[in-house]
Amino acid sequence: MFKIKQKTKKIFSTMLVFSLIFVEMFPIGVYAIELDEINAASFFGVAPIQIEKASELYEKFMNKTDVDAYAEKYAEGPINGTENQIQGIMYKQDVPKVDVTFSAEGGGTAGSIMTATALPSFFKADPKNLYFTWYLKRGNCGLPSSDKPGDVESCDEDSDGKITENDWKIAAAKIIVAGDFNAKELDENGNKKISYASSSVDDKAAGYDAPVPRYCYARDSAAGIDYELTRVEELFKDDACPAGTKLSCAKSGQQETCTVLNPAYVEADYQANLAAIAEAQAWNADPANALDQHIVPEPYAISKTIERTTNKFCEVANEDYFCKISSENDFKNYQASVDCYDGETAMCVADSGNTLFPTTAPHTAVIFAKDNLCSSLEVNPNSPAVTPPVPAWLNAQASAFNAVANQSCSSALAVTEATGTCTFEKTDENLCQHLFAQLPSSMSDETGDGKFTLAEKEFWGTDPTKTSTNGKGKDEENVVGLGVDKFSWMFSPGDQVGVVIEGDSAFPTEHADSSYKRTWAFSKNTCEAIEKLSDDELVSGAKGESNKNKRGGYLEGPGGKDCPLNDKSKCTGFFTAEIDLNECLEENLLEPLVDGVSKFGIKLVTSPENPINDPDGRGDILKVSTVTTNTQNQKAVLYKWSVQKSTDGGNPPINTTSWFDITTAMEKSGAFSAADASGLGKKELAINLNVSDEVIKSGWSENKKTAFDKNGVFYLKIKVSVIGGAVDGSQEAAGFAIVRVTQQQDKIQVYPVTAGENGMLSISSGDNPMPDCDGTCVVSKNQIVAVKVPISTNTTTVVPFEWTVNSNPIYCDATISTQCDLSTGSQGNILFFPIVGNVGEAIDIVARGLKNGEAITVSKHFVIGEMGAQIKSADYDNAWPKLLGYAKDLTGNKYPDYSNNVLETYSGKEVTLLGQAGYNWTVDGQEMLDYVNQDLQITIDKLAGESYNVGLLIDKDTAQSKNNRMALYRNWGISPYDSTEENQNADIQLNVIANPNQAMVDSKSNFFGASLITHLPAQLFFLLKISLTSILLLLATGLLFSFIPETLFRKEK
Amino acid sequence: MKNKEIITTVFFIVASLFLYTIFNGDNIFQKTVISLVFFVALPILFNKFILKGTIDLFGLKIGDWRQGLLWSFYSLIAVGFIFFVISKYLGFFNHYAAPFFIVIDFGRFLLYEFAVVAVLIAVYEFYFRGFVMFVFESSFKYWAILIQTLIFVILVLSARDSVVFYMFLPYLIFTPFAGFIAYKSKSILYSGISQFLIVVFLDTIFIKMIK
Repeated sequence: MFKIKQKTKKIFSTMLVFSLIFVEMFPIGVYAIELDEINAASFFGVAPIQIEKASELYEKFMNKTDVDAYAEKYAEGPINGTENQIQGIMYKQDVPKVDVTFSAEGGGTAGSIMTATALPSFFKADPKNLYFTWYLKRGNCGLPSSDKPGDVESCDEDSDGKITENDWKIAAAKIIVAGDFNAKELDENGNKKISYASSSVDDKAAGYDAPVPRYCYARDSAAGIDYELTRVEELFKDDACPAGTKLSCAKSGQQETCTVLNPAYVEADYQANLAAIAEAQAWNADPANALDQHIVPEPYAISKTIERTTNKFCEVANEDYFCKISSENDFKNYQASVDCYDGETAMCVADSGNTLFPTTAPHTAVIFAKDNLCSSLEVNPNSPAVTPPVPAWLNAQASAFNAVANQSCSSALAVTEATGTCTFEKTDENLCQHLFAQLPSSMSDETGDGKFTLAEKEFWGTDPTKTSTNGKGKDEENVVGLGVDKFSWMFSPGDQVGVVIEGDSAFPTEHADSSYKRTWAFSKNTCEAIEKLSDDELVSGAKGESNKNKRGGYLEGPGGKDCPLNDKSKCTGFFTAEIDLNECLEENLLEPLVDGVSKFGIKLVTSPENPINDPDGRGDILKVSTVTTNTQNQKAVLYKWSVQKSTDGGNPPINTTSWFDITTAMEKSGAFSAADASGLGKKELAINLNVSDEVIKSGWSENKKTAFDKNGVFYLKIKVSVIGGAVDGSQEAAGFAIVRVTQQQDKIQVYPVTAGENGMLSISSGDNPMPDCDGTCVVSKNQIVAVKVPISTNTTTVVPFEWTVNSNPIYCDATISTQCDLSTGSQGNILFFPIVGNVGEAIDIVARGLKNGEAITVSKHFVIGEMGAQIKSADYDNAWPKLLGYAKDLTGNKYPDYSNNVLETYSGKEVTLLGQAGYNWTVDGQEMLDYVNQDLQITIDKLAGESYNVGLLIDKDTAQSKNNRMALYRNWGISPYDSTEENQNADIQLNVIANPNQAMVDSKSNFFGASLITHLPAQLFFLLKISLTSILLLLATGLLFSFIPETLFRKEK
Repeated sequence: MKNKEIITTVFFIVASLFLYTIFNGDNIFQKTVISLVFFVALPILFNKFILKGTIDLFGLKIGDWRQGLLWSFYSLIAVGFIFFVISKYLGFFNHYAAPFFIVIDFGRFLLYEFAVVAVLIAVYEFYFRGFVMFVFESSFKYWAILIQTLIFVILVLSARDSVVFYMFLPYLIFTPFAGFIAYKSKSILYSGISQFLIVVFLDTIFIKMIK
C-alpha cells in the first residue's frame, strides 16, 4: 500500500513538473512579466503604466525635485505670482475682439460702394463710445518693406515722404468724416467751391477731446497675459545688500604675481657674507698685508625676493552691475536679479577690504577687494621683517587662504548667498497712445485734442460751415472714429481694409484706482508683435540695450506705493511691454472679396417643380436656370454645373445632410453632356431625369432603400459655381437648388386580351400581367394589348388617365370594352390598343393623370417582335433549355446563352410542354391527337444520347383569332386583309442526357453476361463489391494458412 | 506466434491494405464503410477464423492504467515539442488543412472532432495498434511498434498527395508514440485518447490562426 502510494506520488509529481515546463515552453501566448515593468492596468483594459525601474517609483514620489527649489525661490512672492492660483484664473479672460463683415451694393465690382461693419465684443463700453480707427490700403499703397511697395506720390497722405500705416488711416478717416461732402468740388469756372479761408464753426464745437488713458494693455491671447504698455527701469534700493556690504561685480580666476621673500635666502648667510667681504677687503687694504692678500668672497648671490604667482581667486572687478529679469519663472514671479557684464558675478561684497566668509578663519569663501591680492596675502617686498619664518601664505599648512584657492566667484556666492537684490519700477513715461490717424507733422494740431481747427478742416476735407460734415457726430469725433462702426467706400480691386477698436475691456486693472484695462481689438484679432513677446527677451538694465518689444514687470505695493522687496506678499505684479501697436495694422488688413460675407449672388430656378425620374429614360427634363445678380457681363462668366444626390433617402434634406456627387454618373447615362455642364455663359442646364435605381440607391441604408421602393422620392442638389471676368475683379460665387424628384412608380402593367365575338375586348379577371414585360415589352403585329395603371387604395388618384400612343392621343371607351366604361364603375386606367407596325418598330404608351394631387406620367415601351410560336417547358426541373455557353460583355460579365430550339431532359422524366388552344403536337413525326389544344406530356423512355423531335403547329383559325380580327377592324379600322393569320410552326429537339446521379450501370452495358449487375443501383453494387472482396480475402488468407506446413521455417535445434 | 501465422498475417495485412487503397468510394459514407470493413471487420474475422484468437487481442480493455497515463503524458510532451518545432521552423500550419466548416461554428467543430476524427482515430487505433502491433508483439516485442509505424507511413505516403500527407502528419508523428503507449499499457484506449487530444489541439490552433 505504501509502495503504491509512493509510486502514485512519484507519477503525479513528475506530471506536475512536466506540466509546468510544458506551460512555459508551449507558445500559447504567455508573456513573461518582467520585474521592472508594471502593466497591471492593462489587465483591466486601460493604458498600462510604464515605470522603467522600481527605483523610479521611489524617485518619483520620495525625492525632492525642482518643485521644492522653485517654491523656495519664489516663496512669499506677490499676490498674483505663479505660486498663487489667482494668476491662473486671471489668465482666463475673454479678450475684446471684433468681427468684420462686408457687403457691397454693386456686387463688389470696381466703383461699387463697399461697406465694412465692425462688431466689437467684450468691451465694457457701448460701441458708440469706442474708437474705431479704420484704415484703407489701396492696391498701390503697399508699405516700403512689403513685396509691392506703393506709389508714394498718390498714397502719402501725411506728406512724410513715405507710405506708413498712418497714410492708410488718413485715407479711411477722410472718407468717414467727409461722408458725401466733396471738398474738391469745382464750380463752372473750374474754381473750388469750398473755401477754407475762414470757418463759421468754433474749433471746439467740432472738436473732440480724446484723453490718453493712464494704463493701457495689449493682450497675448495664447499666453493669456495682459501686458501693460509701460516703460520700466531698474531700481536698486538701499537695502539691495545687507548692512556693511555693497553690490559689486567680481571676476573669477584672478591672479597676481607678487614679489615675495625668496625661501632660499638666509639673512645670516647674507650678513656673514657681507662681513667676510668687509674683512677681506680691510685686510687687503692694509699695506702690511700687501704680500698676503686674502681672497675676497663672492657676494651673496641668492636674491632676497622672488616673484611668485598666486593661486586663482575671486576678486572684485568693478561696480558696473545692472538689473534684469533672468528667466521665464522670474518673469512670471516679477523677480529681478542683479547681473554684471563680461561674465562677472554680481554679489554683495564688504564695503572695504576683502570679503571674508565667515569672518574668522578658516574661511570658506573669499572675495578679494580690487587689486588687493598681493597685499592681502601678507606679502610686502619692503617689509623689514624679512626673516624666517617663511611667510604664512607660502606655508601651505598655515595659510588662511589656501582653503579657498582657485575658488570661483560663483562658488563663493554659493557660500555667501549674498546676491543682492534689485527690481524694476515703472517710469512716468506713458506709452499709451491712441492709434488715431495723425495729422502731418507740419501741422501743430493733434487729432483728438478737443479742437478742430480750420487747418484740420482743410486737411480732412470737411465742411467748414458745419460741426458735422457727414451728419453723424462731430467732425473730430469722426476723425477719431468715435462710434464709427461702419465704413463705406468706393471699392476698387486690390483694396484692403482694417479696423482697430480702442476701448476699455470688461476687466478692471489691478491698480489701486478705478481704471479698466484700455485695450485694442484688431480686425483679424491677431498681432504678431504681441504674440512674439513670449519668445522675445526680457527687460534688462544693461547699457546699450533697448527694451523695445521686451517683456518686463514691476511690483506695486498696497495703495499704489512702492513694494517692499523683503515682503512682497502684499504687492501686485504687472507685466509690461514696450510695443508699438501700429505694427499690428498691416497683418490685420482684410480683403473684402475674400473675407467678405456677401458676394454677388446667384439664384437658381428649376422647372418643373416636381419632376419625375424614370430609369427607363422617359423621365422629365429638369431645367435649371441661373438668375445672377450683381454681375454686369454675364457672357464673360464661367459656369460649372454639378449634380449631387442626398444620402438621406426620401427625407427632406437639412443642413447636415451629406450629398453624393453623381455628375459623372449622369453624364454617362446621358442626362446631360459634359459640354453642357461647364462653359462660358452656360447659365442654364437641362437634365434628363433618367437616373437609374442603382445610382439613386447607392450609399443608402436598407431602410432608406425600402422606403424609396415604397414612396419613390429622392432629392437632388444642382449646384453651379460661377467665376466672373477679371475686369470686374474676378468675382466668384456659387448657388444651388434642391429639387424633390419622384421616381416613376406607377408602372403600366400589360395584360393579354380576350376578344369577344362582337369584337368587344376584355381582360379576364383571372389573367395575370404578361410576363417578360417588365422592361420593354415585345409584342406581335396585329396583337391587341391591354395596358393598365394600377391604382392602390391608399392614394387619391384622379382618373381617367389621358393616354397617348407614340404621342398620338388614344382613348378607350365603352365601345371598345366595358372595362373602359366610366359610367359602370371603370376607373379609366385601362387602355386597349392594337399593335400596328412592322417588326422592329417601337410603340410608346404614355398615361398622364393625377395622384395624391401631383401630376404623374407613366409610360411603357413596346417593340414589335417576330411572330412565332415557341415551345416551352412547363417545368424546368424536368426539361430545360440547353446551355449553349456564355457570352461576355465588354466589362467581362458573363451571361449564359440558352438555346431556343433544344431542350434537355433525363431518361424517365415526365416532360410537359406548354400548349394552348390551336396547338397541334407531333412527336418524332407522329401526331399526338390526345394533346390537341393543350399541353403536351411525354414520358421519357429513351436512353441518354437519344432525342425526341417535337413539332408544334398552331392553327390560327380559331375563334379567338377571328374575334381578334373582328376587334381590330371594328375598333380601329384595321382591315381583315391586313390582319391575316400566318401558320406558325415550331420545332424543338428534346435531348435525353445522362443523369449524373444515376448509377454507372449505363456505361457497363458491354459487360459480359452481367446485365443484372449493370442495372443495379450504385449503392447495392458497392455493397456487393465490398462483400465479395472481403470474402475473397478471407478465403485466400485461409487457404494460405491451410497450405503452409507447420514445419516450415522451423529452426533445427 | 508460429511462423505460418506470421506469414499469413503478413499476407493478410498486405492484401487488406492493398485492397483498401484500390477500393473506391463515391462518397464519405462508402469510404467510411470501406475503412470499417478493412480495418475493423476483416481483422476481427481474420483473428477469429484464421488465427483462432479472441477479441482480447485488440486491446479493448483498461490494461495498465498507470503505464498508460504516464506514457501518454510523456508522449504528449514530446509530440507537443515536436509540433512546436515544426510549426515554428517548418511552417506546419501553412500546409495543414481541415474542413472549413469547423472554423465557422463551434458545434460543427465538435461534430467534426467527435463524429469524424474520433471515428477515424478509433479505426486506425484498432487496426494498427490493436491488430498489427498486438499480433506481432508476442514474436517481435518492441519491434512491433516499428512495424506498425512503417506500415502506417507506407499507407499514408502511398496516397502521393501532399494535402493528405499534411493532414495525416499528426497521426504519422504520433504513431510510434501511440504504439509505445499501447505496448506498455496493453490497451489502445490511452493511445487513442492521446491521439485524439493531439488532433483536437492542433485543429484548435489551426482555427485560432485562421480567425
